[in-house]
Amino acid sequence: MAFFAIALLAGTGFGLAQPPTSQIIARVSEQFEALQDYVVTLSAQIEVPNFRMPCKEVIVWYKKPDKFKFKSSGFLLMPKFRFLPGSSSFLSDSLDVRLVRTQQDDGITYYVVVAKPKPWVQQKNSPDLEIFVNSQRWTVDRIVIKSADIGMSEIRNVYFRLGDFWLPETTRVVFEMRGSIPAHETPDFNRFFVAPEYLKNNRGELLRGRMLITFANYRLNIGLSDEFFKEKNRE
Amino acid sequence: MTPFIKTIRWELVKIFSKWRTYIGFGTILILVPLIMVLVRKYGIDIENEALRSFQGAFDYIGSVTNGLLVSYFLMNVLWIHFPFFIVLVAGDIVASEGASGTFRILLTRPLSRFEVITGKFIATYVYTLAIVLFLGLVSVGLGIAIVGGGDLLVFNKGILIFSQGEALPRFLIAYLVASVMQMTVGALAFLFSTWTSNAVGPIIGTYAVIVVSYILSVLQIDALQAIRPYLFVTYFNVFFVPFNVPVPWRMIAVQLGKLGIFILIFYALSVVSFIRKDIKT
Repeated sequence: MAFFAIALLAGTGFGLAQPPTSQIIARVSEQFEALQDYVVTLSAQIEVPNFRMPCKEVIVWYKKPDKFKFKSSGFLLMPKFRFLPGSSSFLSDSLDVRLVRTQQDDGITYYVVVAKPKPWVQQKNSPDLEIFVNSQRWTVDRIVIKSADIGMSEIRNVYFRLGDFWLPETTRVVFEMRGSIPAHETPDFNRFFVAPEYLKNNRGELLRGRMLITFANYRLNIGLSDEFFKEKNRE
Repeated sequence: MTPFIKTIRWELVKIFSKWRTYIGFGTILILVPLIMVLVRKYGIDIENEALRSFQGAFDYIGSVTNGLLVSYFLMNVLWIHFPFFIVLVAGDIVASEGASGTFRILLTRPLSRFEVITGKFIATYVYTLAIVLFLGLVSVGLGIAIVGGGDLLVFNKGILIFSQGEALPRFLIAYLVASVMQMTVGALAFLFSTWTSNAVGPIIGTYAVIVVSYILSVLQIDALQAIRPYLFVTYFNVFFVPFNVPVPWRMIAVQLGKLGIFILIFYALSVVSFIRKDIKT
């Protein structure tokens, strides 16, 4: 994989002065090597036309390598894409990752890495990821997700320093998806316990929305046990 | 206690001493827990249907299938099923006096006919309010107890999700508003009840008016647009209005005002009919 990435970068002619992709991946992952577990409180606000969800709080517990547990006071929509610290699914083995360019933004150099699902895991309309890695602190500051099926989404992270770690303080998600929510005045009351027909067959129009996720009350390396994650998620 | 208050109290005693009054309460006590248990056991797949647009980009944490959602859907019984429990009492309250020959005894008391009929009318509203709030209490209370609490998902100019804290006051407002809507039906049945000495006629007559009004209100014929404002069922959706953001108090007040006009008309006609009634039994 690393050899392939280096060879590809060498072949494109602009990767010589830049670290190889594998090194970028390694440096991003190193950020969280000493982070064994944590608990954090997220609050999420979502803005979608004709959709209303109150601001929600959810407590997230994480333990290496990929154990998550959520506790929410009610129903919550969360981006499918793993944006939580410690999670690195966008750089997992199932992705082909390669550095495509560097970019200057506010005096910071970003390594722009493209990740695509490997052919044997690729499904129809699998999204392509463009990941902007901050070269100064090796954090993922921006991710652009492109999918023929669900449109384009963009995630922007703002970090703060806590001990040895750069941790997300806010995550802003701008997304597109297929299927708008019509603002029908009168619901369909003919049938009980089913969604109105107009919501079931609305795959055509493109819907744009925004989500703001704020992180608070981090507690790091608190010694969470595996058994804690075996309990049913308290939702 | 004034004689008029005593009359209302006595009418309520009469209402709640008849077994038919409890048909509605009994039905609610059987049907609502049954539905809640079925939903708890088998679930409903509403969030996947309703939130299909989000499935590509979002995961769900928690569920919107809960007692509040079931209660919200159960409010649909208020359109056409629930009025049966109202007309059962409202259609009987005057007519049964004629059938049992108790009008003369009733009118020997030191009360005017106006006070007698008004006492019966107020008692009918108290019963209506009681059974509507009972539906709300059983529906929301048992819903939370059996299926569980949580956020409420409603379909109202899109998809709205309310926290439980936001939803519960809206349910209270909705059921209070629904009591006025149901009383419109009750007032019509009450009017018919003053015309006859048999409760069956007012019950069937009221339902016939409701069904015809619904048909006229949904037919897509331009000529019918002119008469829709004069059909009381046009304003029956008022009980779903509190599930808007923000609560459109003005719209609720306007629709309640229009239903109130219908109630007043039916009440006034009932008073006139009863005062002019030739009581021979």
